[in-house]
Amino acid sequence: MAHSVRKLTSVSSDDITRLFEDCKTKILEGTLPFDGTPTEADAAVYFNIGIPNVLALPQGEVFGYFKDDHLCFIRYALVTDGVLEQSYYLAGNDAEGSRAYLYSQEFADALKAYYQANFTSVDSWAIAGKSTATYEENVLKPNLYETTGVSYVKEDLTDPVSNITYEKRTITF
Amino acid sequence: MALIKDVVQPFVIDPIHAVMPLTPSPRGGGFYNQMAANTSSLIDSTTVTSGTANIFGNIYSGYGSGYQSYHGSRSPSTIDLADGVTHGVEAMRQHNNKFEFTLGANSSQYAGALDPAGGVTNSDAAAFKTIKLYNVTGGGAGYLVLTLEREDIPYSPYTKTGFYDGTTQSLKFPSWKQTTGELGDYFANQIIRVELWS
Repeated sequence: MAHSVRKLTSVSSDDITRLFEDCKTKILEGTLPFDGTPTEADAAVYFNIGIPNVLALPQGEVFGYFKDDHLCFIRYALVTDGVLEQSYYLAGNDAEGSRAYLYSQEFADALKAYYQANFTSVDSWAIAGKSTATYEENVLKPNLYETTGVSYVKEDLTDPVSNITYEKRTITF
Repeated sequence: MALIKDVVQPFVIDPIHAVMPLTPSPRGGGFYNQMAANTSSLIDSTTVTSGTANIFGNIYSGYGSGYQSYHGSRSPSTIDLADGVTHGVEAMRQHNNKFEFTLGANSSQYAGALDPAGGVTNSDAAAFKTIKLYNVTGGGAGYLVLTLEREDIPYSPYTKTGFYDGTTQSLKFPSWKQTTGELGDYFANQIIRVELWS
């Protein structure tokens, strides 16, 4: 079984739609800072527009996790002076229809190798109290953030406009 | 050629005068009056040299100031609305693909208690009717890339705290935000002239 994280230079709308369908219940629970409560169609459009728009930005970075060449996961970000400022992600199923890979050490190791090879630092935001924040704390922290060669800091920040509190995690190599 | 010219001219010139009355009609408006009512004119513009930012995972492209990050720049830093009042440009950008236009500064002009917010009455006559974005990266007049009607970008003022006159006070910033995302990032490290039209 091969595990890799690769930079993407294009993403098909079929892949975005497939991955969205696999994880839409998590998105619709409020893991993204939408204005109000989005419909399923609103959320799907958000990714179908947003990911190509980020790909078009000179600072845009889109990468995917592949398990035996099956695209399971997409995350998008901006890169500024070697810092990867991550936005949100689509965590779909593997070829067997499972999301168990998200909890595997192989997934964390593949992310770490990609980060270390390309960036000096990585920022990640999650809305406090949501499942993505819980996942970062309970899974990515032990599997990646607090591993050898990584420096880790967590801050809680409240956006005064939206009044949403975010957990910001920064890892440095 | 002479034969064609002779045939066409009578049919082109004469009927135009016949269907364009120069005086008001009995119903209160002739052709010219209706044209005048539909006339749009440029109110003011600012030019954005776009930057990008990721604030709490939100992707911004264009110009914005405020909490966490500045991105891009704008010139001039102010813009007039249709009522003639000059405002500071706080944001002119796409936020998660949606166009966003915000006025404001830390001043009494935007005191939270002021009604309407920022002194802005949100009507076509008082604010604007149409926003046009021109890509001027290559210089010159540029080319039109996006036209938005005010009804597509609902008025959505928001409150935040700002420091002025020696104290931290509640401010209410006038803002218009598009409700559906654009297929394309029109700012994307470009130079965009944003025009307000009546």
